[in-house]
Amino acid sequence: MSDGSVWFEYFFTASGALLRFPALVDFSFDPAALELGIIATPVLGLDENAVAQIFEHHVMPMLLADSGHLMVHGAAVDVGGCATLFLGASGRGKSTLATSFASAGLPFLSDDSIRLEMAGSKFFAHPGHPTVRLWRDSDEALFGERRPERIPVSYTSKSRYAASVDLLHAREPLLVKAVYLLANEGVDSVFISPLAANHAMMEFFEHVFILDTRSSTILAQHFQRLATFANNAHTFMLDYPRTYARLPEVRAAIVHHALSLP
Amino acid sequence: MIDLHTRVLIPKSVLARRVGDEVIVLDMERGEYFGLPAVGARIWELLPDGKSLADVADVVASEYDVDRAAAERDVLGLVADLSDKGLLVIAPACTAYCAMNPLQSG
Repeated sequence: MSDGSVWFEYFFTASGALLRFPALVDFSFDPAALELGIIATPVLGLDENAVAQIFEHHVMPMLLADSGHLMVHGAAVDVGGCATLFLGASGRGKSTLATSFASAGLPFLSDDSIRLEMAGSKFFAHPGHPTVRLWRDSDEALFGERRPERIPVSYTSKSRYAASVDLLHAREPLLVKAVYLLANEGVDSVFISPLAANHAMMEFFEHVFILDTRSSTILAQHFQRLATFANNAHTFMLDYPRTYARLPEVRAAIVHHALSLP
Repeated sequence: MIDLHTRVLIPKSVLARRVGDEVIVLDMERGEYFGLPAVGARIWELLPDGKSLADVADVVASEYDVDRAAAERDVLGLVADLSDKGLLVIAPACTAYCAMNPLQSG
């Protein structure tokens, strides 16, 4: 994590595998027989709701990736009936952008992890969990008085909000039209620059979920699909002023840009 | 010893795909990946065809309109570098071995 602490560790044990979120919860399972169940062992005092949220938002994407699905760390929104993706490390603004779009009537598919399905050379982004997760100072600036239902989260200082009529969530998979990789270099205006496929591929590597790096079959699948994705997606670097007041301007620039793509 | 008579093999744990102008090479054993731009990408694509490095240098010299000595330096330098990284191995100099162990495509 950005403070140098470990968010999760993955071990192989005599009876299967152990996914540990230090000081929070262990999930133990047999990777080859997930149907047998997953056992959660939380630390004393961690409530069931927190365990469920860690499982849904952090464990599930990794298990899906491990079972062959292409999962990327990013947010996705519906712009003109196609998916626009925002990829970037934690803190780059994925959830803020997704929330900003969804509050303005452009539904979000996910704010943190996206399942991509390949169909020929095209990719479809699938809707994820219908919630967004924000730092607490973001909610007032993003929602104003139309704040959606806040879901209590005990294990992080972020707040989670459920989709609503004021925070639209997409229900169907959408064709991916544009991918924006988020930079944060302190620019004064919206900056969008095309990224060559080879550079896009290198970036995608950094944002794909992979749990078991020993599985050559899964690694090979991910590699081939990421290469196809990089060769076919319209990929750009995106930077913008990080002030809430300018989000409408940022949103408008992204929408205009995404809709101008062939 | 790598020379112009050398032929190479690409391990099964190494995958490669052309992406845009580069060939991206993934070493699944080490979990590392590399980008080979321009001439390097072309050389990589020529290697699994069972050509000797002399044959590869011929193609590079022809396609990129460079003199033969420069092409040889590029090919030998890249193969040495890739070999050091474990992304390819030097094939035994034995025709029978090569016939029994066909080169795999990357």
